[in-house]
Order: sequence, then C-alpha cells, then structure tokens
Amino acid sequence: MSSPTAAAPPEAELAATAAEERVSVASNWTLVWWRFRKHRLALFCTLLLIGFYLVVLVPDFFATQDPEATDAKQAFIPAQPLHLFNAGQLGLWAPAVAGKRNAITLRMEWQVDETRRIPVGVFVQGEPYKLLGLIETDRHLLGPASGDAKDRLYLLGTDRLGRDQWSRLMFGTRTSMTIGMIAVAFSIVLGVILGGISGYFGGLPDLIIQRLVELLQSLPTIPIWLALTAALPQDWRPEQVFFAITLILSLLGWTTLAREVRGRFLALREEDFVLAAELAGCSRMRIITRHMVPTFMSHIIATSTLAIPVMIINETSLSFLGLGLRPPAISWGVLLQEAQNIQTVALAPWLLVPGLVVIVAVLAFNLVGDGLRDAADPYTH
Amino acid sequence: MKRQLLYVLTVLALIVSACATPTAQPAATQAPQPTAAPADTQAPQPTAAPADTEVAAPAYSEAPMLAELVAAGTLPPVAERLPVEPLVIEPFEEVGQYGGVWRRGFTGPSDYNNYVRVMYDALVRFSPDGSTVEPKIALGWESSADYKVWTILLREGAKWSDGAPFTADDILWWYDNVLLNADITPALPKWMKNADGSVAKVEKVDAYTVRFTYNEPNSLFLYELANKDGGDRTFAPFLPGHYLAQFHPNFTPQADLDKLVAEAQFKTWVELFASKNAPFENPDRPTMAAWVSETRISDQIFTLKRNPYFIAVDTAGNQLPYIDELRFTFFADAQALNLAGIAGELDMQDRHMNLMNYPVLKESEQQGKYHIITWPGFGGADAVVMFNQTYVKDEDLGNLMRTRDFRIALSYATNRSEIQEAAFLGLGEPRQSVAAPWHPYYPGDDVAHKYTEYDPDKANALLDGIGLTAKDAEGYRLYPGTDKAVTIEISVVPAFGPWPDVAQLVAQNWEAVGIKTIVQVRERALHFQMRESNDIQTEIWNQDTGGFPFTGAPKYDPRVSPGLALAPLTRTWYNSGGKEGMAPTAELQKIVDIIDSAKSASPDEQVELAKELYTHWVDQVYEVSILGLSPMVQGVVVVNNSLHNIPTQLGNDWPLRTPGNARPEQWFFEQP
Repeated sequence: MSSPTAAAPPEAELAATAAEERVSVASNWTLVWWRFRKHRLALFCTLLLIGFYLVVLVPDFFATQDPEATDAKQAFIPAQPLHLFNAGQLGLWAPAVAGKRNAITLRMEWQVDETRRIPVGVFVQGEPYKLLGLIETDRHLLGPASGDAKDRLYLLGTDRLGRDQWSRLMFGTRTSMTIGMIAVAFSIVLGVILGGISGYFGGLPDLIIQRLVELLQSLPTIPIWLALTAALPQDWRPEQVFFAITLILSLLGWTTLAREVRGRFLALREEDFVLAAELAGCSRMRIITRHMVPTFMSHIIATSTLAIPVMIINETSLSFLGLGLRPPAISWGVLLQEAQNIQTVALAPWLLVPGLVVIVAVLAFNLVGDGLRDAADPYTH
Repeated sequence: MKRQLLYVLTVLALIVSACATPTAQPAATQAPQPTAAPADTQAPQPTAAPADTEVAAPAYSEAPMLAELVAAGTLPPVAERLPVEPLVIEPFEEVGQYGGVWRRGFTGPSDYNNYVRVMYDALVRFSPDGSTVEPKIALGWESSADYKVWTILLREGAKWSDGAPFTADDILWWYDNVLLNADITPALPKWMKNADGSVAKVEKVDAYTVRFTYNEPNSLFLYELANKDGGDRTFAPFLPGHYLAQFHPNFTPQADLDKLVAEAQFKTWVELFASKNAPFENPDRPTMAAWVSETRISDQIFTLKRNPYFIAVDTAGNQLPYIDELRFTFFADAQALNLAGIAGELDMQDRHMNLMNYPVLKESEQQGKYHIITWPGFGGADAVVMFNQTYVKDEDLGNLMRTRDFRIALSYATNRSEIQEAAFLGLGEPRQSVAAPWHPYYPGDDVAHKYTEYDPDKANALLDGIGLTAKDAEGYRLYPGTDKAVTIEISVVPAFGPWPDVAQLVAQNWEAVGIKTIVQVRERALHFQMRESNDIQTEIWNQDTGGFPFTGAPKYDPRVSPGLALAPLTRTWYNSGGKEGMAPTAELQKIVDIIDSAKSASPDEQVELAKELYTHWVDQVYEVSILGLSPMVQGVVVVNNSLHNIPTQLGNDWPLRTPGNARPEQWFFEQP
C-alpha cells in the first residue's frame, strides 16, 4: 500500500532525468549549439560577423555613394556624425559642411555649416546597382533625403580624392572578408584531404606529408608571401591578382589544419565505435565519411574559424606593403595602404578607420572560434 | 614679378662675371675685416703671410678650421691655394659666416645625383634663374663667329682638392684616355660628335687654354658643357689624371690592373675606373667641388668636408664655402626622410620632399624651426599622358592613337582643374608642356593653353567625328563595325608625383566620354622595360625638359633614350639607320629636323626654332599635358631658419642641377 508512493520519484528528480534524457538523445550538433550559446561573447560576435557578411553580400546597399567617384572639391572632409533627433523629434540628419583651401598651408579646411542640416532617410533612392548581381535597384540603407543631388553623407569622411570613405569601406569589407573565406575554404579542402590521408593510412604517405607540413611551417611566412606575390605578373588585372593572392594564402595556410585532422584520425582510429563499425563490416570509405569525419567536423569548423582572421590579416598586410591587391581594387589593406602617409596620419586620421574594422573583424572571428572550439567537443567536460 | 627677378638676376650675373676679371679684385680686398668670421680667433694673421710671396696678392680670408691647419704648417696659406683669379661670388643676401654642418637626407647608394646636384662641379654652370651660362671652374670662354671653335680659358693657379694643379692637361686627359677609349666610351656622346659621326677635336693651346673644334657650327656648346659634371655616373670632361692614371691601362700594366679589379670584385677595369672616378664612392678621388667626400655614399652617413682649395671667394675675399661640413643621412624610405624634415632635423632639403606633405610641413614650421620655400618647375609639365605613336600590339588601338582628333578629344575630355585640386593642392597651372612664361622660348599663351580647357561636348563631337559613334551596353564606344569596345591602358609608376591619383582621375574623365580606360600601377623597372619593348599604350610621366628642347635628352625628340614612350619603334628606326622599326611620320620627322637645325643656329634663331617646335608639338597633341609649373619635383624646400643666402625664387630643373644653381657654397649658418 505504502510502497508505490514511496517509490514515486520526486518532481525535481523527474525533471533532471528528463534533461539528462534530452542530453543523451540530442544530436552532436544540438549539443554543440547548447554549449556554444552559453558563451555570450561568442554569440554576440557571431551576430557581428553575420552583419559583416551581409555587407559582403550587398555592399552597394550599405554604401551611400559610388566608392570610385572622385570629387576634388570635396577632399579630406572629416567624418560627420549621424544625429538621431531633429528639433526634439525623431528624425535622422547629418550636418552639412563647407570648406576651402587655406591659402598659406594649402590644407583643405572644413567647417560644419550650422545653417543647414541634411535630412537622412532610410531605404532611400540613390546610385542604381544590381542587388546580388541580379536585381536592378537603387535603394540604399542610408542616404540624403533632401532631394538635392549635391548633398552627400560623410559617415566616415572623404579621402584625398574626395571619395566617400564609408562606401569604400563597404566594398573593402567585401573583398577582404571574401578573400578570408575563400582562402580558408581552399585550405580546408587541402587540409582535410592531406591530413586524412596522412592520419588514416600512416606509413610512407604520412611521413611525406608530415615532412612537407614541417617544411612549409618552418618557412618564414612574410618573406615567402612577398616572394610569391612579387612573382605575380605585374600586368594582371585586379580580379586575377585577387584570386592569385587567395590561392597563395591557402597554399601556405593548410598545414595547421592538416595536422589537426591527422591527429583526430589517429585518435579516432583506436576508438571503440570505429572498431564496432569495422566489425559490422563497414567499408573504409563509409567509416571515414559516416563515422569519423562527422565526429570531428565541429573541430574543423572551429579551426577554420580561427584561420579566417589570420588570412584576413595576411591579405591586409600584403596589400598594405603594396604587394597584394593594388588600386583600383578596394580592400582593407588597400585602404590602409592609401592611408600610409604622413599627410593622412597628421591631417586626416579618419582614414585610418579601416584599421579599427580589421581589429574588430579579427577579434570577432577569434572569439567565435574560441567559443566553437570549447563547444566542439560536447562530451568532454 | 618673375620677369623682374629675371632681370635682377641677369644683372647680378653680369656683376659676378665682371667680378671675375682681375680688375675687380682689389675691390674685394677692401673689406675683409668686418665680415671675416675668424676675427675672434687668431686666424686673420696667416692671411697676411702670403704678402711676401707675391707682390700684389690680395688679402684673402679663410675658415678657422683651415687657418689652424695653415698655422700648424700642414696646409699652404690661402692665397697660395686660390687661383690667381678666383671665382668671385656675390652672396644672395649678405656676406656670410664660416661654420656649421648642413644636415641633409638621401635614400641610398642609387641616390648619387643627390650629391651631384648639390656639388654642380662643372667648368661652366647655369645662372640661378637658368637663363644664362656662367663660368665656374673655367675662367671664361670664347667662340669663333661661326660657333665652330670654342676656346675654354682656365684659372691659373687653380688646384684639385689634393693640391695638384688644375690645367689644360686635365681636360686633355679626359679626351685622350676616356672619350677616345673605346672600352669606356663605346658610343660617342652627341655633344662631342660631328654631323658625320666623327669626334670633335680637343687641343691644348697652352697650360690654361683648351680649344674644342667642330666641323659644323655648335651654338649649343655652352649649354652642353654646363651639364658636364659627372651627373648620372657619366665622366666630366676634366679628370684628375694624376690620380686616375693608376686605374687606367694606358698608364698601369694590365696585370696590376687586373689584380685591383679582382680585389675590388669588379668584372672589368672599366667598372673599377668608373667607381674610382666617382667622388661619392671614393673619398680619395680629388675634386674641384666645394666639399670633398670623407665617407662613401654606401655608408649610413655620407660626410663631406670643405675643399681647402676651392676656387671661389665671396665679394669680401673670404674663401668659400662658408659651411664646414655636409652630412647626408641615410633614410630607408622617403616617408621617413619627410618626417625628419617635419621634425626640423634637416637643414636644407628639397630632394625627396613630397608635395602632398606641404600642409603638414607648413603647419610644423615653428616647431621645427624651419621655413618652407617653393621652387616651381622650369616649364614643361609635371604630369602628362603620353600616347605611344608606334603601338602595334593592337592595330585598332594603334591606329586610333595615331589619329590626331582622337588625341585632341581626350585632351578636351580631361578635367585639369580637378586634377590640380586633388593631386597638386591647387598649385601649378593647367598647361601644355612648353617652356615657362618667363623663358625666352615661351611660345605664347595661345600655344601653352591650347586644347587644355575641359570640354566633354567637344570631346564627344570629335570622337563621333572619327566614327566612334556606336556604343555598347555600358556606354563604351565601339570600333566602327565591330562589337569591340575601345579600351586604352594608362601605365603609371608611383614615383616623384601623385601620378597614380592623376591616372585614376584621367581614367574617370575618359570613361565619361565613352573610352574605357584601365589604370595599371606598375613598378618602375617593369615600366621602363615595357617602354623599351614597345608594350606601353599610354603612360604618365613628367616633361621636365621644357626649358631645354635642344640639349641633353629632350623628351620631345623621338630619338632620345631614356625618353618617354612617344614612338619607341621610330627610335629603333633612327638608331638602325632605317633598317628596323617604324619609319617616322612627317610630323615626327619635323621635330627631328627642328632639333637638328637648332644645333647650328644662332641664339636668336634658336628662340624661333624653339617656338616652332613647341607650337608643332602642341598642335600634334602627342601627349595630354595636364599641368606644370608646380613645385612637385624637388621644389618643396625645407630651410633651417638660421640658414641664409638661399634664393626664394630659382630655376628648378635637373639640367640646372637644382639646388646646385642656388650656389650652396655661399649659403651660411648664422653663428650664435
């Protein structure tokens, strides 16, 4: 009579069991996600990176002007902040500026024109472009809404040729982030294939690949990049240089990943579930693709997330040294290279903003990568 | 204002050359006392010493550091070191004071023309404004009425920096052992060649007189001679034979020479000889310049000390130079050099200073205790887009570039005032690359500004007129009857000026009239190589020979090398005697004819020929000349506030050897 009630588990215990139940039936990816979302900073950075990649997809939409359009009469305008309230009411506006060349120092000097405010609209019409290269449109996220074609926004000021720094930054973001992604994608392919061969087969292939990895890792990277990029034909068009740089970066960048993959293969080879699969008569291919790769896929993703910022930095450094992308291509490195002179540092510090953006992007990737790495192996605590 | 200055300077020049005559000397001796810097030391005494040697020797003063050596007996007295008739230089502002170190920057061993420009070590030299030629090492010259015979007079008693006498033999040594030596001079330079290719004759008349004889009139002889200072690693027409003989097979057994060559790790004796002849590489090589090397240009700090035998004095009889020492500091890049300038660590620097840093330089003037002066260019243009007249890789484009209306159209399509604002800080003036307005060769405003106005409508009309009416979807003009868009490439090198920026602005202008334009920023050596191999379509460079269309290597002449990519195949045609390359068009041949006839023309005729040349050049629009007369090329000058006698207006050009034509030997530091 009394035993059933006593045997009934308390509510709390039930809940705990349910939670454990959920954990034990959850897929690997669900576990990774649960673990990852606890890492608040990584989560925040993920959102940031999504924002970056939105810019990569549709830089024209975020740009306020044509990034190439020069206007000599509008050179070196400092950044003008966006104001949220107009006369106590919600309404975006930006200050108008007026300026002229100082007759003695020959410097362009700009003053905010207090009498005029440029109303700023959202989703305004402007420069026509093709969204994703397909849809013709002329809508931009932000833009002057005064209807006067001469009004411009100077969210990040202008450079020495009067080009809009904000718009250039948007297009630079596309180039630099894309190079990072593509280079890492190449690296992953190379790394997984070579690392997989090395780890799974062992023996001579392992020996050769590992010595190759060591050789590549022992080479001082910057001089090698310099040599390789200097060997690029000088008459290549910017797009060709872009792909060549990407290829160079990935050809030298796959080694860490290959090591990682090899280590995983070596470790997993001895695991019970692999033995079980073998005993069950699975083919080698199936064991690799169905059992082993999914187990360390999260690791690969974490590692490649950490590799992207390295690639971005590499591209930026090369372009900064004048050996990577060259104008008229726009990338973060090119923007910084153009700011690499006394004039800019002394008189137009707002042109150094791409440097900040590089820092933010690289930090974000690193933090996300950290979070992913922690979350990548949900079974260990 | 400028014209006024020209007159003042011309008058000054006359006074100076007048001073160079013996009669002027006693005047100089009248007032050595008040200005002589060594007054506070015991130095004036030694100057009195030579009184017993010569009867009427003028009382010269010298730098305290030399007076000490004289007192110690290691150096002869100043009157013995100076020639009988020294070069007397009228200081720009005032008679100076001895002492000080001139700190200057250079960018490495290849920056040797930095040394060359400061020294301007030549027999004769250009006046500061560039309008006339004046004596320097030479005392003077005479020419026959037909300009075929030129007699150079030297200064009796002039000495090399090691104390050896400088005589006619030193010029003959150059003629016999360098010019006529096939190893050193495989091809005769133009200025020493007769029309039939034979060499001009050089004879010694007496110890201080040398005669140059040409078969044809050579009215440009002095202009050429004013540039023969060893610049660009050439050989000056006066060499210290007493020193260089040890490196020359005419005087030294080949076996000994080979040993020296091997020791110095050169391949041939010619390389060794050239290196030993370069004062910036060999401090032992005696020179006639105001300062003598102490270290080498390959060192981190390249130091020069005053030449105790320098031939010049100021109007008060003080031996020049005033400044004791030159210290060239090595900078790995021009940016670092500019920063040193801004920080006030350079006393006088024009070379490598970047025009775009002008605002920063100007704003830091007080902190750095310097001031900025500008020396605008000497005519020509600071940026031109040159069309290749012999481009053949793309026959359609080649023909288009050979079409005058196409070139005129692109000239009209170019918004020069925008480029002036964006790339030149609003300095200079949009113009064709002709001589400067203050120069006798100036062909007039009509020519200088022809085709330079911004008029896209005219450009479009002209392009329509040559059949480029059809356009593709992007708005680019198509070759008639094809679907091939007209695409033109501008090759540009990031050197000297903001040329890559100019290129991008020009490209936008041209695209606006429907000509697709690609900008290729190239490394310098590659660009030069492409010029040689006729791979350039258009290029951006400067036209810095605007004041010298007939001498040196004028960029208007399709035959010169190094030149711009005006017509590389036609140059080959001329060089091969018509066997290879592309025959010149009548228009190009006309340029050659004008330049050749100038060589034997009288100075008045030369003025007319120059105007004709410029008019023809501008008419043909072989280049889209953007802008000139800006201080872009070595014209932004940092000057220490305590440095004096530097002219604020000056002819600025490579043939003038700026700043050498500002006479650095009479610059001085105000002593505390």
